[in-house]
Amino acid sequence: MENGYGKTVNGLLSKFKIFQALSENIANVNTVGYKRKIPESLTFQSTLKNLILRDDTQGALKKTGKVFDLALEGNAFFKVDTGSGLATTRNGRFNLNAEGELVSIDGHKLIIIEKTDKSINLALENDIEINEEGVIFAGNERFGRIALEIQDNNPVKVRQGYVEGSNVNLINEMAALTMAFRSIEASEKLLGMEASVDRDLIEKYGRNV
Amino acid sequence: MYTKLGNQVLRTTQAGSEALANIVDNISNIKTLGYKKQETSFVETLNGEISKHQNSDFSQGLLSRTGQEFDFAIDGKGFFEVELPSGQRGYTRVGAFSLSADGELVTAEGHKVLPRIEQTSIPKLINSQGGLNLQVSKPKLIIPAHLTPEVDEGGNIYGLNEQTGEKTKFGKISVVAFNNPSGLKPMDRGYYLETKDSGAPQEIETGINAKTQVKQGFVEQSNVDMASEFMNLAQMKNVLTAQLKVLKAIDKIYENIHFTISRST
Repeated sequence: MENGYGKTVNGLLSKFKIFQALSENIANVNTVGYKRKIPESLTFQSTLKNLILRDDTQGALKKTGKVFDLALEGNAFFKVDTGSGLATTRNGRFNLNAEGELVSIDGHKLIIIEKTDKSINLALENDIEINEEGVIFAGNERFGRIALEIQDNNPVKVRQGYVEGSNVNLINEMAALTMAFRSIEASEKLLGMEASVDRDLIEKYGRNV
Repeated sequence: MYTKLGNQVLRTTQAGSEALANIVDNISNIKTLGYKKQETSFVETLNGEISKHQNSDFSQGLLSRTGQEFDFAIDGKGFFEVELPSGQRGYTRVGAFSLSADGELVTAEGHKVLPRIEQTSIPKLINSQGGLNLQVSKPKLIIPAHLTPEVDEGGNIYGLNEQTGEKTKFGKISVVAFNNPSGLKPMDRGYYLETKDSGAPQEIETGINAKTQVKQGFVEQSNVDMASEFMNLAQMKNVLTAQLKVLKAIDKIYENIHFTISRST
């Protein structure tokens, strides 16, 4: 006889994964450049492989007025050197490190191409402009261009003084979380019912043994 | 598995409440001279958790006029260099200085301000009371009491003879900048210490045509903007409320599971 436990437990586990994805979205509502995970993309197969799709719509741009806060408009990424290879990020909160180089918030160097031969220390410049193509100007001098990984043929703009917020909508996520929670609750009840059916059967037919 | 989830949410809630504490700090320091607001940003780590990064925002605060001859403000990048009681160099943008009992230029806490003395123009040392007396390691710089101390945009210190209108240059208040000021270690009362993240202090050009100017008779206000702090506060509060709801849901899931298990055994 096939028992229902396996299926119920599997269902419970993938519902947990959905719950987890939602709680991660909620946790990252204020993370710059965060792209929400799509819990609907979670099937039992994909949870086994830990595959989850991301919603890559644009997050709202938030004005910060800081020189090295950059937001991307369009489907592209900044390229950074993690020390163990190149990586891409949409988190455009850059800063200068002790050597005066542009680094991401976790300290990875931003890749800058077509760099000028002149020695310009960005840290000591007051007038730094980064245009929509990602070209950095220090005063009137061209310093270099920020390397972008562009995903499609649509135009991409770099916006200085802005950061891209996450594309998480707190209310939607909370509503989905409540539903996921109720559905977990239902699975738990089901598990309890299956257990009690089994117990009843054992007691009924085991009496004469 | 959901123990892991619970821990994850707990850590996120913790990061959020630390960010909240930061905002409260900023608001309570809105009137503190030279205070630089603390910013918290979140970064997503590999497993969907967030990690918190804290930064000082060194944007310029408003300069307000006090008219005091020993109040200085930096307009532009940079820090004043002071000698802390421990002998370490400290860096500050709080320029509300005064004269110590020995006639040395000191900060409000009594730490010596370190100027550069121009060897060529050091006058003979006169130890007179009430004079401006600046000290770098050994040589002392004293402006005789009959001269009025005057500091220009470049931080150059002059003694002005009010009768003859004659000006004598005595030295310079040095202003240093760092490649990564966010890497400085903040101390109490607006002092910062150099770290390996900040890079070494570099003396920068100051003056009327330079990017950085020293302004006598001014102090720098904090750069906290009340409106945006309150907006952040409201936002952070919402996120924390949501986090607590998630925690509550996890708690309930636990409870149900325990109930099921305890009934079926």
